[in-house]
Amino acid sequence: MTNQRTKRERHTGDATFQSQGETASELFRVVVEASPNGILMVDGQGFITLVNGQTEKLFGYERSELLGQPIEMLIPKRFSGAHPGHRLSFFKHPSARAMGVGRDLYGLRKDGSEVPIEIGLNPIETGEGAFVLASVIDITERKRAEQQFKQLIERAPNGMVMVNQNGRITLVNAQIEKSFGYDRSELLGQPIEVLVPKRFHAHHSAYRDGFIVSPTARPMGAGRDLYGLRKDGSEFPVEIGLNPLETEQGTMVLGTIVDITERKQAEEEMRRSQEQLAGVIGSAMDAIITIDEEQHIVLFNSAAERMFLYPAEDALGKSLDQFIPERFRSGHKNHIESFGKTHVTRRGMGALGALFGLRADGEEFPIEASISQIDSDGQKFFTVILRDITERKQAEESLKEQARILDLAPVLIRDLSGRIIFWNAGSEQMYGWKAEEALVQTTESLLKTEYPRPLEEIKARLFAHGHWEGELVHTRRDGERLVIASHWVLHRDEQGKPKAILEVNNDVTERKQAEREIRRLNEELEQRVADRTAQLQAANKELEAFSYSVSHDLRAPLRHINGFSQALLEDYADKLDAEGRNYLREVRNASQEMAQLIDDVLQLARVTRSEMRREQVNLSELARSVVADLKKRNGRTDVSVTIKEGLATQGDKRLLRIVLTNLLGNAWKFTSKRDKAEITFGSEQRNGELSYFVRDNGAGFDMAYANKLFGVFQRLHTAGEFEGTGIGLATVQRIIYRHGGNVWAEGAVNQGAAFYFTLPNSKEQGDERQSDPTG
Amino acid sequence: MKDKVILLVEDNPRDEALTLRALKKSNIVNDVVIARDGVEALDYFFGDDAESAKSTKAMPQMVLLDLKLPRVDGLEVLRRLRADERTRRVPVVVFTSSSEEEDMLNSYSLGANSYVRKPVQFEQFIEATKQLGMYWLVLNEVPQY
Repeated sequence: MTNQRTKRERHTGDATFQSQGETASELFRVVVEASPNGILMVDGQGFITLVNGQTEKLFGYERSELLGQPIEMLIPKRFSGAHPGHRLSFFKHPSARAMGVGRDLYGLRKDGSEVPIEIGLNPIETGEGAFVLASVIDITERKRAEQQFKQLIERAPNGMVMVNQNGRITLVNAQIEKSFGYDRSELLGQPIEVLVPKRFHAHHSAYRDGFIVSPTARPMGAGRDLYGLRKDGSEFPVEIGLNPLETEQGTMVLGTIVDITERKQAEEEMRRSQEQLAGVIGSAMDAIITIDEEQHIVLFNSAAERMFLYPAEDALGKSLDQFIPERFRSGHKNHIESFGKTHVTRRGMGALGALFGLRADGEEFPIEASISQIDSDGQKFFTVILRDITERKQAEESLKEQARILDLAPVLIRDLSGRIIFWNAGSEQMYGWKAEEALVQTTESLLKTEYPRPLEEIKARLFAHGHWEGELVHTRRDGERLVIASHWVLHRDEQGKPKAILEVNNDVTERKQAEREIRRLNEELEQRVADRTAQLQAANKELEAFSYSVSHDLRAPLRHINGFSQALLEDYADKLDAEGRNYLREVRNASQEMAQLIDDVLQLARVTRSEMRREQVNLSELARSVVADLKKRNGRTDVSVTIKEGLATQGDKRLLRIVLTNLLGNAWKFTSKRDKAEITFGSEQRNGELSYFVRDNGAGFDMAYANKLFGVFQRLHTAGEFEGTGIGLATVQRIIYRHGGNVWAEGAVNQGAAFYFTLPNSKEQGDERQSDPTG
Repeated sequence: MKDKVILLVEDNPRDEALTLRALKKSNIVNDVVIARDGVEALDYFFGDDAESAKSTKAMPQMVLLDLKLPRVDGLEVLRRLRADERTRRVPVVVFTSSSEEEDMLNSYSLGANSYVRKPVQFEQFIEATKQLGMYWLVLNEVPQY
C-alpha cells in the first residue's frame, strides 16, 4: 500500500514542476535530457523522482518503470543491503562528492547484468525537501582499456616496470618477477633502486630526475653496460628503454627491461667461435686466401705465408696477381668474375688444366685449389683454398716411373690350374707372345717350360714357403731357348687360400753366357798368371844362378890373378925392377877392387830379392856393433862416435845392418882426413815423423848433386880421394824403400854430411847416452 | 894309415896350386890328397878302391871342400859324408868363393864344421889357410875311429 501511495505522490511532484514555472522547468528538463551521463534524482526516502534518457539507456528500463521506485532496484544485491545506510549518512552530511571512493561501483540492469559505473552525488534542497542528484557514468569502456593496458604490460615479453615521480614502483609485470626473482607485492611501492646494483645507486636518482625534467623515449645508459640486481643478490646484464607516460597521477616512467644475459652469451659465443675459426684458418695446412670483389686480398693465413714466402701483413690489400704466374693472370681474373656470376657457392678449380702458384722467390709450383663465394652485407667475397702439390706431383711421377719400370720386367700371373691370367708388356717383349695370345694358355704349353727339378717338388716348396726361386728354360715364340731366373710368389686370398702364382721372369741367357765367358776368361787369366809366374820364377832362378855363378866364378880368376901376382913378386922379385914390381902391385889392387865391386853388386841384388824377415830391432845396439867392426878393421883412434840409446824399430835386422854398415862406413871413410872425426847416430822429428840420421863432420858433398847420391855406380869423389864402388847408398835406399821408409841426405862441401832415414813402426826409448868406442 | 891327412876337394888347378902354396907358406906340412870333383871325393871315402885298400887311405884330419864341383857338387858330398856312420864326424871346412847366404846356411845345415870364404887378396888367403891349419890340425881333437 505504502509503495502505491509513494508512487502516486511522486507522480504528483512531477506535475507540480510543470505547473509552477513552465519555462524554467522546460529548460531543466532539456539540460537533464541532453546530459551524456545518466541523471537520477532521489528523494530522502530513496525513491527515484527523476531520470533522463541516458539513465533509461544505461539500465534498460523505461522511465515509467523507474519513477517512484526505490533507488536500490538499480544496485546489485550484494551492495543494496548496505546502501540505505550510505544514503541516510549522505543526507545527514550532504556535500557534492564522488560516490564510493576507492571502490568499484556497479549498476544493476533490468536484464540482471551489471555495468561498471562512476557516480557523482550532489545534494539539492527544494521546497519539497532534500533531494540527491546522482550523475552516473558508464565506465565499461574505460575499464576495458585499463584492463587491456594491464594485460598488455603483463604479457609483454620484456620486463616492464612503471615508476612514479618519486621513483616508487607502481607497476611491474610477470617478466620482472621472473627476471628479478621478486613477487610483485614485494616491489610495488618500493623505490626503483631496489632493482639496481648498489654501485650505481649514487648516480641513479640524478639520472631519474633528469629524465623527469626532459622526458623523451630513449634507451637508458647511452652505451654503458647496465646490470639488474636480483633478489638473491646476483646481477645480470640488461638493456633498458625509458618511456614517459602521462597519467592522471602525473608523469610516470615506463621502463622496459630486457635480460640480455643470453644475448651477451651469444655474443661471447660468437666472438669465441670467430676466434676458433681464425685459429683454424691460421693453423690450416692449406693456404686460405680471401679476396673481395675487386680481387684484393682481405685474408691471408699463415699456410699461405709459408707457401708463397710472403708475410700476411704485406699481402693484405694487394692484388692476387702477384701469386699467379704472369701467363695465367688475365685468365684467372676472368674465371673468378664468371664464377661470381654463378650461384654456385663452391667448386674445385683447374678442371681445365694444371694450376700453378708463384712464390715470392719466383719459383712456380703446382697447386690444387677450390673456390667458394659468400655474400656478406652486400659485398661479395671469394675464398680460395690452395694446396701445394709439388710433392704429390713428384710422387705421381715416380709412381708412373715405377709402373714403366715394372713393365720392363716380365711378369705373369697364373691361376692354380696353370692358366695365364695376367701377361704384361715385359712378358710380351721377352717371349714374343701378345697378351691376348698368352692368356688362358698354360705356361708349359706356351713356353715349353723345362724345370730344373720335378714340378711337384717345386710346387711343394712354393706352397710351403710362399715363394720359389730357380732357373728354368723357356722357349720364345721364335723358337729361341732362354735361360730364365724365375721367381714365383704364391698369392693367397683374404682367407689365406692359395689363389694364384705371380711369376717374375728374367732372361739370364746372356748373363749365363757372360758368366761362362767370365769363368773362361778367369781360367785363362789364371793360366796366364801361372805361366807368367812360372816365367818369373824361371827368370828368378836364372838370376840366382847368375848371381851364384858370379859369386863363384868371377871371383876365382881375380883370386888367381892376385895370388899368382903375389907368387911372382915373392918368387921372382929379383928378376923384376921396381917399376915391374909396382905394376904387379897395381894388378893385385885392381883385382881386389874388382872383387869388392862384385861383392857390392851381389849384395845390391840380394837386398832386392831376398825375403824380408821383420822382427824387433835395436838400432842403437846394431850401430854399436857396426862401429866396433869398423874400428877393428880400420884401427883408427881419432873417431868420436855418439850413438843415441834406445832407438828401436821393426824390420829386417840383417838388411838394417847393411844400412848402418854403409852409412857409418861412409862416415868413417869421409872423415878419414879430419883431425878430429865426429860421427853421430841419432834421431829427431822431421815433418812429424821420427827420422834417424848418421851425421859426420867429414868431406861432405855439394847439395846440387844430392839426387845422384843414391844412384848405382854414382860417385861424387874420385877413387883417388876416397875409395868406393858407388853401390853402397843405392843398397841403403833399396833397403829403406823395402821397409816402407824414406831416405835423404843433407850436406855441404867440407862441412860434413847427414843421412836421414825413416822406418815405419819406429819409436824412441830412453835418453841419449854417449857411447864412444874410442874412449 | 897316415897321420893327419888333408883332403882338398878342388876342381880348379889354379886354386889347387894357390892352396898348396898357401899351406906351404903357412908351414903346414901334412899330406894333402886332392880330389878334383865330388865323385873323386866320395870315392876317396866309399870307393871300391877305398874299401879294398883301406890301409893306404887315412880318414882326413880336415877336408877342405869347394862347393862348385863338376858331377857331384860339394853340398852333395857333404850330405853323403854326414849320412854315413863312418864319415859323419870327419871335420869338413867348406872353402869356397861364394858368399851366398844360401850356401852358408845349407853347408851348416848339412853339418859343415866351418865355412871359410877364399879371400881374393892373397895375403889374406894365406892367413886364412894358416889359421885353418892351426885350428883343425893342431888345436882341434877328434875322436879315434
